[in-house]
Amino acid sequence: MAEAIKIRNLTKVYSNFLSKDKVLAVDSLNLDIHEGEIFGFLGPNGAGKTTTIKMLLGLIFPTSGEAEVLGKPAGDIETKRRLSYLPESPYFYEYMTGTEALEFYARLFGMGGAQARKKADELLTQVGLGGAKKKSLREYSKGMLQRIGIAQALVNDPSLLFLDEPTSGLDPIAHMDIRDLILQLREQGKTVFLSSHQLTDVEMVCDRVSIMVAGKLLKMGSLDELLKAGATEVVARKIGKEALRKLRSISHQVDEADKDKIVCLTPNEASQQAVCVIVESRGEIISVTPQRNTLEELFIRTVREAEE
Amino acid sequence: MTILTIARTTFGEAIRRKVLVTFLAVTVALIPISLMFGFFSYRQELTTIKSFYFGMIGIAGLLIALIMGIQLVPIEIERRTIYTIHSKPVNRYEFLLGKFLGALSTLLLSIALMGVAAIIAVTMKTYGDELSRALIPITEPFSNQKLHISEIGRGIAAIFAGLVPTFRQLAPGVVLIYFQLTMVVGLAMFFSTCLGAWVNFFTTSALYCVGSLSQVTDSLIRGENKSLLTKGFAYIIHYLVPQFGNFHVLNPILQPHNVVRDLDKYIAQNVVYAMLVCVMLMAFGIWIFEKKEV
Repeated sequence: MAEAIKIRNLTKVYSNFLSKDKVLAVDSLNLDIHEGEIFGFLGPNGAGKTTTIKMLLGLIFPTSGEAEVLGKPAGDIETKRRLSYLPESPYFYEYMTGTEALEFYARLFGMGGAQARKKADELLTQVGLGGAKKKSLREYSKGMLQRIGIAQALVNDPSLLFLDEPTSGLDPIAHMDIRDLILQLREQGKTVFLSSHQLTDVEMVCDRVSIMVAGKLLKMGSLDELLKAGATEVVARKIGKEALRKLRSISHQVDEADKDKIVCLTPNEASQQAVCVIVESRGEIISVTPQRNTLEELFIRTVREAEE
Repeated sequence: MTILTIARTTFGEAIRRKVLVTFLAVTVALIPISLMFGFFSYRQELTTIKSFYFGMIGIAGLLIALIMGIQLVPIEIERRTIYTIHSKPVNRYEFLLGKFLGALSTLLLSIALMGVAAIIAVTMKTYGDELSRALIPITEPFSNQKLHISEIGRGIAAIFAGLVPTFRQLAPGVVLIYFQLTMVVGLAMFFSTCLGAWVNFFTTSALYCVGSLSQVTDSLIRGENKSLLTKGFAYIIHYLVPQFGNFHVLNPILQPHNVVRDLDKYIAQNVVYAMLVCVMLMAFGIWIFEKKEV
């Protein structure tokens, strides 16, 4: 699979000109983002997520290391024709109307007057602002401005989108709309680099995620790999005393739920053995369920471990 | 194309900025009002009035140029509008030049409006007597004189005829003020790529004051009985700081002893000088801005 983003040993150190304080914002980051995937880039505040995105866009420069975006060095002007960025809490020229703002962004891609106006109208309709296109942005609510932000990120029909907290400040309906839009983008084959604190959204839409803490990448993989809990829950009935003793010896935990039903939590590698014990003792298996963590649990555990 | 798009947006935003509009409106209003409220005696020389107007346009224009110049780039970084622009195929030089052109357009509109107000006011002062006499029946209700339409018409015609010579008298000074202030915008924008807004405000203002003494530094360089240190210091200031003083030359109060023999040539030379200074300031500004982290 081709890589949309390739990052090798990317490091960013912020140093203050007057004092000698240095802050290591990103520490030897290595990352590959595949084309067509939705990649969740997670981390607590100050983890280095926005710094990484800004380096990939050429807004700031790495202290060391390399990054390639769509096959070209990060910051390449021609590559910017094929990517887009929605910053966290975006701000626009407030005197403009919705149409004027999007026309302005369209013109930055070289579109002429009529083409830019047509594109602006299309996008405003797409993000549900068709009725407010003549209002000045000063009159827009935070959610409406966020939608303008999304629209400006779609103005060039990009192959790669950097979305930094796209659902921040949105009401539940708008939140769902944006989530659906991200899923539509995947169906269109676009790559989305999504930085968000909305872990349920990330869990719903992302193919792979990474967790960054204090500039270091601590976890990366598909959701299935990362959220696998390492245990399987086996529920069975009619278990004899001998079988129960064997199950206790191979399981983390065995609970007798009611008279003849047990709930047994075994390590994944022992789940097969537990099933055999139940079958051999002529017990009745009700369910075998591999356990899965939530992304929130994984995130909190990872951050806490890093802090310790 | 990109430069013009950014310039147009900058212009659109600047002309809506309350502080700039207030400066402009107050100055444009003050120019004719100053005549009505008798700032000048009836017989006062036109020279004083011209100097006063050049001074007003210069000060208001300076404030507009400074406020725009120091804010244009830092405010984009502070508000993070620069992120959505620089993530698009916009070179940094295009951004900076677009901002500069937008600022120059705003300045042009401001100076032009103030200049037009001054031309109208001076014309009224110089050629308005006939109209005033014709309008006496209106201004004095108990007067027995009758209102003669033909006299009013003659008065208005005299004012219109007077606009052209007044324009010729004032326009060169207004043009020089505009080009002087383009250098202020250039200087402020250059510093805005590396300094904070307030430090930039004081630095640019200080350099404007020093540069306004270019006639003094010139005489120090030419002075025969000056020490080498004085001459060297004057030389550095004279050639390193833009020579804003050369643009005050048509203000008879600021530069009473200066006589320009060939006005067209003088203006052309200074316009070219201002343009060269702007090009150099922008070139250095772009060089710094290319390396700047936003």
